[in-house]
Parts: sequence; structure tokens; C-alpha cells
Amino acid sequence: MNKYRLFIVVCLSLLLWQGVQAQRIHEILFCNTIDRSIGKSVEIDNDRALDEIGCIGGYIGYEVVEHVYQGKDCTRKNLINLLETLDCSNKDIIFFYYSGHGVHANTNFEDKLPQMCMNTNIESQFVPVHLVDEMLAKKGPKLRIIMTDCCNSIDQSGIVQAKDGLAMERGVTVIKSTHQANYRKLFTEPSGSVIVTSSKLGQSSIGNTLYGGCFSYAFWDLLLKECSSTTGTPTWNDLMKKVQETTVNIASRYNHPQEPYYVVNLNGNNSSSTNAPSYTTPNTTEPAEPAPDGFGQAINQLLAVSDMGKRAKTASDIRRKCFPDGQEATVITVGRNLKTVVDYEDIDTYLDRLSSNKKIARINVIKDKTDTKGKRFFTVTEMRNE
Amino acid sequence: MSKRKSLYRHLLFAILVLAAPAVQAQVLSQEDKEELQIRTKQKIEDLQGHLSTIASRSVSPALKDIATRSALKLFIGKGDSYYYEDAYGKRTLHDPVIMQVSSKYRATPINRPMKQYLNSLRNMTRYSKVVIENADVVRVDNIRETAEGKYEAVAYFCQKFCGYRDGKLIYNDVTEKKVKVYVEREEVAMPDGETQVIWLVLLGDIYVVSTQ
Repeated sequence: MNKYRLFIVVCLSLLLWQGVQAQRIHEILFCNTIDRSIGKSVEIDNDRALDEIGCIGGYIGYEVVEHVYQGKDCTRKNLINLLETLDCSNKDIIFFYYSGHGVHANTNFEDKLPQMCMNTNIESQFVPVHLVDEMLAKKGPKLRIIMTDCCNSIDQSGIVQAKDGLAMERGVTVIKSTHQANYRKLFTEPSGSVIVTSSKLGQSSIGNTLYGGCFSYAFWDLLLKECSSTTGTPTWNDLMKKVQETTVNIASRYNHPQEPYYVVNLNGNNSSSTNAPSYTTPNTTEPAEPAPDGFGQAINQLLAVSDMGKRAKTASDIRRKCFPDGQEATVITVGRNLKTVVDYEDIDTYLDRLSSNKKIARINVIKDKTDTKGKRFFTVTEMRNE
Repeated sequence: MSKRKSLYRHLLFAILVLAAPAVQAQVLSQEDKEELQIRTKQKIEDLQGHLSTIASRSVSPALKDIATRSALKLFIGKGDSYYYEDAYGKRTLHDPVIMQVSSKYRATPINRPMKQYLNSLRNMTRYSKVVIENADVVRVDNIRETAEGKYEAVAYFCQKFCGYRDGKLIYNDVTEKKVKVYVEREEVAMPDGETQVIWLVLLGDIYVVSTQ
């Protein structure tokens, strides 16, 4: 009888645990930021993806779990290991993003998707995008988005003449209810997969050191526009068509043929763009900077504490653990365009502000750098409740 | 010789003309000004949140300390005397920023230095419970360039004050206030070792417009 009761208690606990477990968005970023030719442009892609996926989490109220591998960590070994060990529930979203060089085997035109060169030119270390899709599908998330911006030719002359959208988002992100509803429509309602890559077979992808990859910029810019719209609701198919058109238009200004390829498979409906065979070549690499540590996670845990009285204690714990021996740090808050500096504070002032401010909903840590004197600089973006 | 002098004069003139833009104050674009208006609004919302925390009876002293520190950092001079530079580069010491306080029962508002105001708000013994909240949206006038080549604005906000004793509402009012806003240009160190010009929004004196 006691064993029976214990069994029921365990089952109920498991059910309750499943019920209360936060829905998560797994942000998987692999960016070859150390490449000699495209590293600077890829770094912009990396920063923007970090911010925008963080914002998606903020809008839809999901916990963001970061798996960020840049520079020397952008390797096949790390990717396969992560895909094998990733802990994911059927309520979660996986957002995979890669920026770097891409290549396609000239013996396989059935597969329309490229192989990612990661941070190397050793062929055996490349990873096909379809493999990532297959491995992620096995994890059984509600929605998986696989986005790759693979390029091998760089135009430094200024591709994107951006005068609206993301470029004009100089301030911190304000969570508006209409935007929130549109982000939820795209990310929490559909089940299935969205796979998109920056160029179809036979084409290379372009980018610059001002805005990053032409395709990536078009994607994030249009996602923001679609989700900011007060007329109509966004769909993945519409978004993909617009991203495709915009990328083609921007690239054509530089006489560069580039047409993104996508497959949208949601709620049992499948649609895709057309494709043609191609072949591209990879470049060489060198070592990189360290990726951001647990500071971002710690400050978002602080913001999740609704009892303001307890935040002060959490803030002092962060100060002690992340900055031992009174280590100096500066926090630079930038707007959503990742350029305009909105605030510039020492770490104590910043933690005070987070501890006492109910308006701040989420922080995305974009960069963590240490100067020659050992002082740390964090570049962050901020999401505020309306 | 005179030819050489003339050449030097022309060279000097050319250097001065070329150097002039570098020493002029950096100009804000319309888009910059619009973003700074939004930022000003957010700073005032933050101030209102801090005032609410400082006045609350149900908040720990530690959190009140943090809210007080954060509130003071929103102001020019951080609640202390501050220097302000005029068009001729002359730095003048100004008194700490003030908060005007008013009452429905008193015709003339009283000026209080900000630190003193925050302290009195924290230690208000007249009421067992105090609630301060914003009663309307914050309005920010256009950011304009002053004769000194600096940028300023005026913002308006409404504050609702409720004082309770033994659970009963003893006093309440809605006060419209205006605040002078300074947009300060600052050169800061960036992680790559370079310096960058940034614009900071700082609040100044706060005056009572009306109390109801």
C-alpha cells in the first residue's frame, strides 16, 4: 500500500514538474568570428543574433538558454557534442544560427543545403546543415529554426543602405503588447521546422563590416518590421518570401546574384523556394576571443526575482561571484541597432539600477571584453516593459 | 620674404579652417533627438519608480538605500553641487538640484535639495503607508540647442500621492511637475582602448506646475 502511494506521489510530482518547467528557447550560435576575410562581418552577425534571439525570448516570455560558440570554439566537435547532449522538451524552441563560410559537395545536388565550414578549411570538419536538422529533429522540440549565413566573398563597399527598421532602433527595446502578440504568433503557435540559408546552390553570400551578412541583416530587420506591424499577423511563409526578395534586391545593387533558399514545414504544411546546383570554396582561420560567461544568465535571474527586497541580495551575490576581489567592470548599454550608446555605468551603479527597477524585463549580453589593465567591459542591450 | 610670410598666413588660415569642425560641439541629428526624448521619458519613469520604493513602508532599508542611490544618479551632480560650463568655457558651481514640494493646503511650493527631499520621503512619519505613483504619461518637449552649444529640454510628469494612517486615506493629491533635462556630451573609454562620444540624459531641478 505504501509503495503504491509512493508511486502515485512520484508520478504526480513528475507531472507537476513537467507543468511548471519553464518553456525555453535554445539559442545555438556558431559563428566563425576569427576568419581573416569575413571575421568582422561575422562578429556583427553574432552580436545581432545574440540580441535578437534574446529579444524573442523576452517578447514570448521563454527562458533563453544560450549555447554560444564563436571563433576558436566554432568547431564540428563542439557542434556535434552539443547536438548529442542538448536537453530539450517538446514545448521548447530551438533556434540554430551559423555565420561563416559555406560549401557544397559537387557530387550531391539532391541536398539543397550547404555544408558549414565551421572555423576550418579541413573538409572532414565541415558539417552539413541537413545533419543539424536531423539531429535537432530527434530532440523533438515544438519548433526548430535553422538559419545559416554562409559566405565566401566580401564586399566592403557598404551593401545595406539601411535608413529604417533595425538601424533606426537607437534606444532600448520596449515590449509593446502588439509586438509581443506577433512574436508569439510566429514562435509559440506553430509546430515543425523552418530551415533557411542565405543563398541557393551555385551562389555565394555577401556581407560587410558595417551590417554583417546581407541576408542576416535582411532577416532580423524584416522580422522586427513584421512583428511591429499593427495590421495583419505575420506568418513564416510571408516572412521568408520577403527576406528572399529583400536579399535579392540588396545583392543585385552590387551585381551579386544571391537568393536565399528556405523550407518551411509547419503544422504539416510544407513549402520551399526553388534551387539550382552550385559550388563554393572555404577560407583559412586563426585563434579567437573568449565567449561571454555566466554574467548574462545571472542578471536575468536577478530580473526574474519579483520580490524586489530579494534582488539586493542577489545583486551582491553577482558582484561577489562574477567580479571577485572588487574587479572593476563597465557596462555599456546600446540600443537595438547595437551602435547607439544609451547608458555607460560602472558595475555597482548598473547592479543598483537592475535591483531597483521594475521596468527592465530582460538583458542581452552581447560582448564581454577585458582591456589591457584587466578591466572588463560588457556591451548589453535592454528590454523594458511598456 | 614677404612672399614667404604670405604663404605662412595662407597655411595658417587653411589649418584654422580645417581644424574648426573638430573643435565645434558635435551636433545631434533629429533621430538622435527623438531617441533622447524617449530616453528622457524612461529616466523620469525610473525616477517615479524609485520615489515609490523610497516612500513605501513595506520595503527593506537596504532596497531603499539602493533606490536612493539610483535616483540620485539620474540627476546632474548626483544630488551634490555641480559645475556647468557656459559658451565661453567658464565653469560655474551650481547648487544641488532641487525638488519643489507642494500641498493642496499651501499656496507656495517649497524648494528642497534633492538629497534632503529623498531623505524626508524615506522618513515620513505622518503616515503609516505612503503610495506614490505616476498619474499620467510623461511628456518631453523638443530637445533644443542652447546658446552655450549644449542641449536641453523640459519634461512634464504627474505624480499621485496618497498618505494613509491606520488604513484610512488621510491625504491625497495629484501634482503636475516639470523638470529641466540636460543632454550632456561625454567622451568615454571603450573596450578596444579608443574613446567614443556619447550623449547622456541627466535630470535637473524639478518644479511644481499645479497641485490638485
